[in-house]
Amino acid sequence: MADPRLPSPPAPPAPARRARRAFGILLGLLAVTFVLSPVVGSVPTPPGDLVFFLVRALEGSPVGPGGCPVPVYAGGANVPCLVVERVLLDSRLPEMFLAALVGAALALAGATLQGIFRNPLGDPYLLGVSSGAALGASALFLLGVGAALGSIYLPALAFLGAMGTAALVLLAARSPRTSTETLLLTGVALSSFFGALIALFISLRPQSALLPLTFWILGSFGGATWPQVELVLGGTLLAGTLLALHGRDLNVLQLGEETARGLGLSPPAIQRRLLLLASLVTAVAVAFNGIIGFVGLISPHVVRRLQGPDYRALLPLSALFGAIFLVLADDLAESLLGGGSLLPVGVVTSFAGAPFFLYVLYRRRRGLR
Amino acid sequence: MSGSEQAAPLEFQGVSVDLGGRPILREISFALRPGEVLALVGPNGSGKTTLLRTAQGLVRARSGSVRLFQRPVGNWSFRERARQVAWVPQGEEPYENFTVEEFVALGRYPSLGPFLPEGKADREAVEAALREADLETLREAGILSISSGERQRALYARALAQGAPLLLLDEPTSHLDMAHQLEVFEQLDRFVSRGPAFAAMISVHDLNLACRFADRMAWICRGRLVALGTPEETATRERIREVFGVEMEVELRGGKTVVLPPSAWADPPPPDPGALRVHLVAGGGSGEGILRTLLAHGYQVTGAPVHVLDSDEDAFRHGNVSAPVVAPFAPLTERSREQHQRLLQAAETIVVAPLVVGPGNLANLVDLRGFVPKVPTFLVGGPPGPAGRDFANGQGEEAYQELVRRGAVEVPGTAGLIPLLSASANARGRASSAVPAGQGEAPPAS
Repeated sequence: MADPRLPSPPAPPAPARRARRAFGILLGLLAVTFVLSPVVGSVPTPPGDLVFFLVRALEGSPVGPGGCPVPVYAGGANVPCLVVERVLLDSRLPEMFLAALVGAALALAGATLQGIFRNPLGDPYLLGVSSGAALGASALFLLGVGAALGSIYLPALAFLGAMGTAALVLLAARSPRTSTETLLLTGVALSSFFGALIALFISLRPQSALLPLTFWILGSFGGATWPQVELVLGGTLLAGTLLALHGRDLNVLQLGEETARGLGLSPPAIQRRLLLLASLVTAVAVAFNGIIGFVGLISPHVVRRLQGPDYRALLPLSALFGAIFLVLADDLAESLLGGGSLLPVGVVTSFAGAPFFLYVLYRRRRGLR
Repeated sequence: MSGSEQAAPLEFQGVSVDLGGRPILREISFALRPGEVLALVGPNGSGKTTLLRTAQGLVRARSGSVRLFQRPVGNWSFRERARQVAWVPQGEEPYENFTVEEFVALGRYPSLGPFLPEGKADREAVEAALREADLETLREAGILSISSGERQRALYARALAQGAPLLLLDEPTSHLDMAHQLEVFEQLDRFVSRGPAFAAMISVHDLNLACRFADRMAWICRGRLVALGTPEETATRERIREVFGVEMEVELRGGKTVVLPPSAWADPPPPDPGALRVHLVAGGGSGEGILRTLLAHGYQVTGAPVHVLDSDEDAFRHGNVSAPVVAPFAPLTERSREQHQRLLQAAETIVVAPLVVGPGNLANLVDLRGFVPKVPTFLVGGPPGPAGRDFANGQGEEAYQELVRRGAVEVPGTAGLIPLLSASANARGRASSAVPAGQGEAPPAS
């Protein structure tokens, strides 16, 4: 719609203003999600208590063995205050942070891949990067180190698997004759191949050893720790910042190679750089938590429908949306089965994500008239 | 034009290009002049697009040199080059549904690069481009949701927003209706008149648009530049035959070259010697359509006197219709009126076109009086008075009404004429052979 109130040149274009507003709204939603999320979980914590524990922790005076000085903790009188504090600070909070970061990372990767390949199916899965990570992880289980689920080996091998796959794809992309279609199909072929290898590994191991692997492959934030959060935060921030700087490049890529060249952008060089960054951010996201589907695919689509395709806004907004989406999905995973049983969050994302995605997909497109 | 001092924005010297091992361009040499619109014309696959792409370094030449503003095209960085040349490719389909404004703003990429924020100058450039392409009301519409004509304008606006002095366009008119085609060339006209450094090269299929608007035309045939010059110099019948392999008619109208498809005039079907003889009274360009119809139906046609410069005179000449011709703007001469009488005596049917009646040709109507109703007479298109075609102080209307009184039949349009003529032919036994008695004016030809 033409807005007659628009004063001409000096005002920033309406989409830019809308993007800023959307950014504010999503940031607020993320904050609300964070405050409300501790209410669910094995040790439910209302927002008031969360604030209390956080303040104490930041002051450097945790509650300690002496018990709670204030009558907090309304959730269940039988849980000692100290336990609540430890669960919240050492388990629930890192889990939430990790979920948010991984959601943001996957959404960034998805948005970038959709932009590079000019393909709506762009997703970390698509390039085989996720499958590569899964292959690395399952190799570890095959070697019998599965018990050490929390150890550094699992993320390390998953990361290696992801980056190794990314390197293969990048190698394919180096040849100037490789079209984007060929690249996509390369990723699909690698995914299938790795899937078969994983199935082979699984059939070689006794059932009992496989539960942790199954959980990892389906995606879970169960064992999140603060050092993991720091690592993922570092990787996501680094790759995310670099990606966000390429928003305009991604926009120009949407016009096709010929036009991009005409406008002074060299598509192969930019595509390779973006592909590397997307692989990095995917590897970081899957290393600790396994494969979580749908976030990378749907976040950019939802944002695009609501806000338009400008990648300068699409990248940060998708990251925020992915963060919110995954924190909420993790909340659901924590609470759905009840009684302390955990549902892999990957199951929830797909359960909630697919119908939601279909709904968004079939709604009227923005700007259509 | 101060072309000699101004450097050529673009210069090809002996440029040959191969694509996939196939020679596409061969030994192309020319220089684009500052301030000109150069039209590339040639059949499909002749190499026009490749030439445009070579001009901006999207395709590398096998041999020869391409210079952009005096510098070899390969020596420019991508972004520097994009500040000098704006490119409107053919059939671009963006993947994302950007708003028109966002789409046009992407033209600022060469100036901003990936990182610089858009400044005031950028927004002004985008606004100016939107205004020039008349897209201000569509700025919020999705680029994939608007019509192809509007998208073509958006492509043009994006190229304008680039701010480059050299504009290369690849068949921007091919999907547009006539009004929008004209608009493209009018915009180009405005573009190159911005300053001495501005120039444009456009590939186009419509020779008439090229002749009308381009300063020069480059004729490309099978990868070679076969001619380069003004439309008047180069757009000849022979050249069109050489380059496109078709026969076209080339005429000068108002000092501009026009190219016409070989019309019915060029080769009218030979009239059937046994067909009905129809005498056509026309004037002021009123007879052309009727004449085509008559010829298409195979009637033998004669014509009433016409003036030189009247397009009906053209029509009669092209249609091999024998009709007396008189000097422009003069009244009919006695001689022409006598000739008219002779033609009328041979006529089996008279058709009066919705002609413009003036003092010059009033006699054409008056002279019919002796033949109505002996010869069946059809008046097409109503009386001249109410239609504003009477410039003879009401005498035209009077002459027309006199014919009606004498039994001439009024026919609203050409479509209704043909059945009446067939009936008339049948009555004359033209389809069979018997000539009925009583309708005695039939000449002894049968």
